[in-house]
Amino acid sequence: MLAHILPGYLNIPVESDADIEAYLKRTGKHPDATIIPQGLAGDSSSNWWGNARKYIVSLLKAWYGNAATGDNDFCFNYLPKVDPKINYTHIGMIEAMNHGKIKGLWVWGQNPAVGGPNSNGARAALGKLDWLMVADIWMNETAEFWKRPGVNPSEIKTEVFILPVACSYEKEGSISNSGRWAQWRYKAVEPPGEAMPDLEIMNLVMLKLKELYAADSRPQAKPIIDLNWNYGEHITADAVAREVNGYDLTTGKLVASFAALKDDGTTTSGNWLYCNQYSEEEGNKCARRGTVDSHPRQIGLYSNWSWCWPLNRRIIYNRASVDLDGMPWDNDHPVILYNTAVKKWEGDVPDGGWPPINQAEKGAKYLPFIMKPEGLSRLWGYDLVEGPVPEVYEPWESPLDRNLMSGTKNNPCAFIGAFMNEQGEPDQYPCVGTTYRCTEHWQTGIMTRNLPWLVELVPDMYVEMSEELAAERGIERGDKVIVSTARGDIKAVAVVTRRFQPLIVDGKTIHQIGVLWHWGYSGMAKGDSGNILTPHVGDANTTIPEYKTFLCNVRRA
Amino acid sequence: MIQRIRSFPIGTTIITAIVIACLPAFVIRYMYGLGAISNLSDGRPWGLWISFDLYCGVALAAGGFTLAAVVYIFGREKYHPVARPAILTAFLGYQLVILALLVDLGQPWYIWHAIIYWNWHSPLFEVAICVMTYTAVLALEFSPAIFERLHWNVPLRIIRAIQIPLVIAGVVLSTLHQSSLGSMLLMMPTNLSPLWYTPILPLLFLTSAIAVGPAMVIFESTISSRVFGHRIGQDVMAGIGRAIPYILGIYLLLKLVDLTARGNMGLVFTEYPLNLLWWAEIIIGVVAPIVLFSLPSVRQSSRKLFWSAVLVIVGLVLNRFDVSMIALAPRPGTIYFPSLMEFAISIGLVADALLVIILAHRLLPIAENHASAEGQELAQGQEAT
Amino acid sequence: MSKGVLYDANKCIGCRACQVACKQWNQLPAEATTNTGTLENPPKLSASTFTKIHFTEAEDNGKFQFVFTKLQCMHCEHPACATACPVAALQKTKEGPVIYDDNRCFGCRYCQVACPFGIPNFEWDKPMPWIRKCTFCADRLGGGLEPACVKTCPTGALEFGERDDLIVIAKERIAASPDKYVDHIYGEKEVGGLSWLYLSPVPFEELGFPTLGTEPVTVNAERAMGAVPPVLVAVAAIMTGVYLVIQRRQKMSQTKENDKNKVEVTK
Repeated sequence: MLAHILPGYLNIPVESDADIEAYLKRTGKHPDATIIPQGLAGDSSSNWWGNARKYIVSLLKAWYGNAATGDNDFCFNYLPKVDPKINYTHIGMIEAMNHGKIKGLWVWGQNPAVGGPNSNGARAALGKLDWLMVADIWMNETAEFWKRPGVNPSEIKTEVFILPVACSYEKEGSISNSGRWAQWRYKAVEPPGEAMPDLEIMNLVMLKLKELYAADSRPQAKPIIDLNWNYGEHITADAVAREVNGYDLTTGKLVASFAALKDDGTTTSGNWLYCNQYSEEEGNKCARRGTVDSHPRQIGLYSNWSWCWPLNRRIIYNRASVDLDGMPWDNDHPVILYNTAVKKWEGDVPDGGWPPINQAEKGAKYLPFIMKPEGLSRLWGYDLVEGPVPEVYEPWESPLDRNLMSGTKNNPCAFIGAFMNEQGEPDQYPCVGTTYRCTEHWQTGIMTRNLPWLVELVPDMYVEMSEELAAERGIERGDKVIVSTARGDIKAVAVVTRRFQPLIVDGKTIHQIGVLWHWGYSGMAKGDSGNILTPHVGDANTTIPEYKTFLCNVRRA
Repeated sequence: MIQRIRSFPIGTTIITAIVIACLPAFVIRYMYGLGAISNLSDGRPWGLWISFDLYCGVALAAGGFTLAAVVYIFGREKYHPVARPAILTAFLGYQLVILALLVDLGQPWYIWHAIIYWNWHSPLFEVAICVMTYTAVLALEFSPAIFERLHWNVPLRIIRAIQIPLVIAGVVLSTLHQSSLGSMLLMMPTNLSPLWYTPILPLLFLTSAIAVGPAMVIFESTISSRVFGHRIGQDVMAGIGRAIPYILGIYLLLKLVDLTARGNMGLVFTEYPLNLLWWAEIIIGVVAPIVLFSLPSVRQSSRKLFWSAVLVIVGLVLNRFDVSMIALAPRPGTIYFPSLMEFAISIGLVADALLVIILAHRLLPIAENHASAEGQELAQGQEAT
Repeated sequence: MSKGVLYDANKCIGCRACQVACKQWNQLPAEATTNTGTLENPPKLSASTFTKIHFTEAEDNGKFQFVFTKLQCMHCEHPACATACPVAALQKTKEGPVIYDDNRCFGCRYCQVACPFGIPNFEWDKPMPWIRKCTFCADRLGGGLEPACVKTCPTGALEFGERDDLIVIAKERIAASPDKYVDHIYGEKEVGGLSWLYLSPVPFEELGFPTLGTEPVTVNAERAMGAVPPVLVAVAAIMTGVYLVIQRRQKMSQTKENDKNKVEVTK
């Protein structure tokens, strides 16, 4: 995931990026970014990405410290460069492991033996590694893949290292939610046994690496030798939070905002979007616990509770919520509003402090979508590989022989895995399977299948189906059933429910089977993994796996 | 008498064997809890022990207070010979009830809480207090037999002096708790079948207990006369039997009037299959005995009297099982049948009581014709007047 | 004033966070369960499960509805368990909760038999067992907190407050959306009123709620118990009277009275 970016949505460099300038030009994060479609006014946007040079330079300064200077392009070429033709996402990684291109794998708090699509393939790919390091709070399926049911451990050569880590209540640090708040948490209890915070593990590993490479004169050792790593033996989350915020190297003080970042190497920032989370005056703002809604209209923003990137702006693109005079479109729930008397914005932190368009001076009449060079939101997605407009395609495995909406059946740009990725046909697998979660378990279940209170609520792997399908297959509620696909079979308990109804598509009755995916062979409550059924198919732009549709069949076990 | 104690007859051996065979059930119960030996569950928290040992046990011990009242209060000295065995069986019956409760209660070591924590609204509180007090009263009522054997004349005299207050206390306590066993079921208007549920359940319980008391006396006396060779005059038995139709008649009348008054008479035909049990109760335990005990030919035959009494007892047992178990709906989805261990506990307790009765009959002057032939003569003489 | 909780089946999403919160606050062990073809678990309330969400796939006027209901002690205004308990281990407090004192209980289980909702449960597998049931978090209420289940409910399906206020809220809700609710607040009048009140989109019978009258189930038993003192006095008086009358009659009609007394003493 997010294999395409560095911190702060800065793109990952590719091989052709000879220097920062070429890199920024290619990615469009440049003051002279091309505006597509042509004809839109370039001066109608602040084109905030035009500041990207400040951010990448500050990031490189944070990473490489004194070694990063204007003369060496701030060590830009220390950064790993990717091959744009290679898919570096989860699916691509599993495929590469299978092809022997990846020798060792670090797995931090993830469980690819259960969580990714086509689990049988993923588990087999793990067996092709030379070594595997798993850091988790529980023994998970990835750590135990070599002794999973049906395999002979002596035939698996992979050397597996298990690093027990502290869970979130056993360490200090921040957690960012999808509303972009970074909330600081404190340690409540000591981690059990040898477990330690992942941050400390990383620090010790890096210190060891630096020690090992200290005398190495080869050029590939330079990024490690020059790496700015000054946390000492005992790293603290607080030190990292300050580093992420960044410093003004001329004063040695924390930078107050990303507006203060410079491209001359006098500032650092581990992530420009997180500038302002830590300040000299207020300290760690993520730790704030203000419970008063300071918004003038009390819309419930609670801006003094923790901190929100960017700049504690709770709702981004909030200038789109006001008219050209800065008055809110929805007067009952104004996010920001412009006080003309004092010429100031009130409410949330506005997306740029410029006055509203009607009040702004010529040349600063900026449209709300400040990160786009044209300042507009996009329905016309010219940078989507199968764009520019959305299209409906049948999934890779479909019960239909044609696309009812258009002439092309499948997405021609989708990523189709080659490894252990058999494709099923509707005559053999007439039902449509889909995977989803239940409330009581979380992801691959390793955190919840080990908690007795949650196991009590949902003890067993189950699948859901309609009364009609159950009747057709002679399945009673509570029966053990086998759901099969071209890639594998799983056993589960049948929950027969009227909440599932057969679909009539193109005059054909098509049955759906709902498959939970939280189970595996490790932990307290064991069961078959739903992802044994899902195919190694990824979305054309992000390679997000096609977990939601596949062909399958069901029968009584 | 001494000779008899030395011998160890086959019946006693069997009963002793049963007691020993049932002992493990008790051990397991106290080591691992009620769930380990019983089929009781949250859906059916009360089972065999409550229905049989408590509900039937208390009712079947009613011979004690009815005979005591007849002899000591109503002055019918003719029935004196059966009064003491009746009191002994009642005394043992109540001990049986208490022993069963010591098994059934989750925390039997706190049974004394009933004495210090009072809830006046609870029918079970009243039952608990009455059963405890009445057992003490029965002990005192029965104590003369022991004092006589030991020739302790001072305590004997004291007991004699308070005999009448004791008997009155016994009658009052029995009236209260026999009826309160019915009141206990008044808490379950939604669960107990309307064929049985009625606000007058306490009265029905009392009436049926009074009816079964004499029947139990006939039953026990007949058996003990066989086993121990005590001879009890047929006229005594017949006299007891003659009272039964009147009491059962009142009981039947109460039941029918009550069902009619509540508009539930139709249920005896429609409430299938529970109505079959209702009919069985009425025919076996009420109508048939009324007819039989009214027949002089039955009253003249000790065998026929015995079997008629058995009918009353069966009817009552059926009734108590109906109201406290079969017609009392469990929580949805619960099916209950007592486990072998539950039977073992109940059987073990009964066998235990039988052993005590055998022992008492051998050691103590139970049947008064043994202790005092004079007394028997006198009683007979009194009837003649 | 008496507290209550209003459960609105239209707001419940069946997440069962209340079940877990209850176990957490009351430190109850997990039960070993299996999936029997429903999303509901544990199958029923027990000594280690004080509350659970019951799932009903209901059909109402041809419309399919997936309805959730929360089961726990109703904390009746006239609790049968409290009347039944011979040692007053269960008591209705004026704040609302029906509380249980294990210092008094001796495990007779009459409360289990008496409860019209089948709520009190027993620790069958313990050699020293107690009755266990929802406490209405009386220990939290005492500290000014709402019950754990209410606190954790993410949708406001559980609302804690003065019982009288909750009835007003419930009536307003029914009046505002008569198409969404059946016109019945379960618990307002049932068996004399419950501290826990329910709103539902389908008739309560379909959700497995017992159909109960408005009269407390304790009425007949309490009436019978009220008759105990007069019966006690009356029976004692009658028996004494009968004894005295018969003694007198015997004295008058019999001449051998002295002899008889002699016999009595020698017995």
